[in-house]
Amino acid sequence: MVAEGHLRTSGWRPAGLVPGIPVAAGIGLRHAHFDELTERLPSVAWLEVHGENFFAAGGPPLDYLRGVREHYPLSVHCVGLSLGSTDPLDTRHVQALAGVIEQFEPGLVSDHLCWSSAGGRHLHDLLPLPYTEEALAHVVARIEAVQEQLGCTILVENVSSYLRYKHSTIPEWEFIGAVAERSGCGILLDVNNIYVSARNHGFDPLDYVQGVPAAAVGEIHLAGHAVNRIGTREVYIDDHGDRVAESVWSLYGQTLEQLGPRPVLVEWDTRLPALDTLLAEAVRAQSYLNDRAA
Amino acid sequence: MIGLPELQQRFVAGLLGDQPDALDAWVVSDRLSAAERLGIYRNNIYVGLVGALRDCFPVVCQLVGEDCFQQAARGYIRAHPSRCGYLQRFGAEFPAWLADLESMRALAYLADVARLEWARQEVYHATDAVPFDQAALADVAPADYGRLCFRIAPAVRWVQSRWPVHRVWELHQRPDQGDWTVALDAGGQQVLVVRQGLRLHQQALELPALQLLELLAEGVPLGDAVDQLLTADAVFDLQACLQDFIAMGVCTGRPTLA
Repeated sequence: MVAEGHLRTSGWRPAGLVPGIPVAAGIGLRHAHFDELTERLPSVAWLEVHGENFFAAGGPPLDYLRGVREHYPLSVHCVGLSLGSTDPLDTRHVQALAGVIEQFEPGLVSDHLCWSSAGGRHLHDLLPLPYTEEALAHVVARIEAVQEQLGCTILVENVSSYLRYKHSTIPEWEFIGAVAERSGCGILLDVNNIYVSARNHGFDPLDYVQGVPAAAVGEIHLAGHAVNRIGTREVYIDDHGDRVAESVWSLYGQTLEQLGPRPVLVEWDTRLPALDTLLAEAVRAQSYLNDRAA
Repeated sequence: MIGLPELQQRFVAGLLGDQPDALDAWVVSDRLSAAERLGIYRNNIYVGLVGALRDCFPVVCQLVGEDCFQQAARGYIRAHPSRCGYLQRFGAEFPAWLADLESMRALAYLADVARLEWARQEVYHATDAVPFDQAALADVAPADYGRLCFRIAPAVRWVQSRWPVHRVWELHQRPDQGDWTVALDAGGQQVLVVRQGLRLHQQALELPALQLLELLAEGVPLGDAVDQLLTADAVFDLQACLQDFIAMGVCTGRPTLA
């Protein structure tokens, strides 16, 4: 049995205060859908937003989210903590996230296993770490510091990647497993990212799914990708700009077989479709969970 | 083996374009070369950051065209890289950057349009504030009006320009219709941007109204502000102006007495 996805709190947040994320399918909520979602309040199990979009002091986004939060469980997914960066941890960023957590009481909080800044310059892209003992020790310490400051554990997501470093020595799935084991964080397993990376680097995506510690996985992501060409060679780009690919649905089914049911979320960020199209993707994601429960 | 701090420093420099080809040594080349793989990241980074600037400065983009905007934005990204992990502050120096660009000199009003668009950005994200306390104003005896100090709401900005920037901005909201004539020599405009609930309100202000707003924002009591405006030879309806400010949500909370 898998309990509801929830924050494991470490002391100064009363346990039970934080509403959990159900083991069901949700959608990533983007600004373009705020009006329609607020008006219709469609049937969907939970919502996830990008934390940094709500770091402002005030204004419409915060107002919308307060309204939405009354009707749906919420997960806060970050893109800018730069967990793998060797710059000093930006404690103001963590503080701003703590403010969002305090205001909206999300059931889950997450960011990525990546780095995106150095020397104070932020690229706003999710770069992979070299998978070395040095990087492992570093990112574990950073995640511990973030969790300490937030007063809760976070989930860390595997990123899509387009390059590998020559000096990497650890398979990525072992690396993220060790990160979870040593820091106490959970894993947000993005099945589309596994597929995209597998195609770009030529590994078997099932090796990844079978290689991560199942107990640490607290959430699954699904999204669409693009297949571009450089000359005659295909490159898989994680653009969140389409329906989930059939090959990814298939890998998602295999992932549920391997891990058991988890909260699952469909993301869509570029060429945003009608809200109903996104909701239909969540219905399909839910059907896989239902099939396993039947 | 290269250490993680040095690797990250070199990658940021290389991906932003200071040293474009210095990264291949650490990246696996196989089906795709290291350079091609790095190129995917370089492209993603610039597409993302140029897109963030385009979202903040849509009228600037329309004025100069997509190619020109891309070029200006890419230069800005290198010269003023984002300094934190969220994007709300990214673009703050873009108006000044445009003002200094030799290639944009022909569009003298461009930087002021950019300042206006950034003002809108700041107003959109500014702290929420309580409405103006009308009842508190009613409690003030007319003899004390001159001592009134008003608080300006956080979601208020104004831009003063030698050019008709409000008119230019308005025209670009519906580029497919209307009269496209702007008399650039018709004089400058003062533009007020204020958040009203969930939407932004923008309008041109007469110069004395802007001067009054600036004085009130500095905490100058109403009487002193009026004295300064009168010596500045301004003829305008002070009471109507103040009532407009209050109705538009420019003032917040309780006025105090100096």
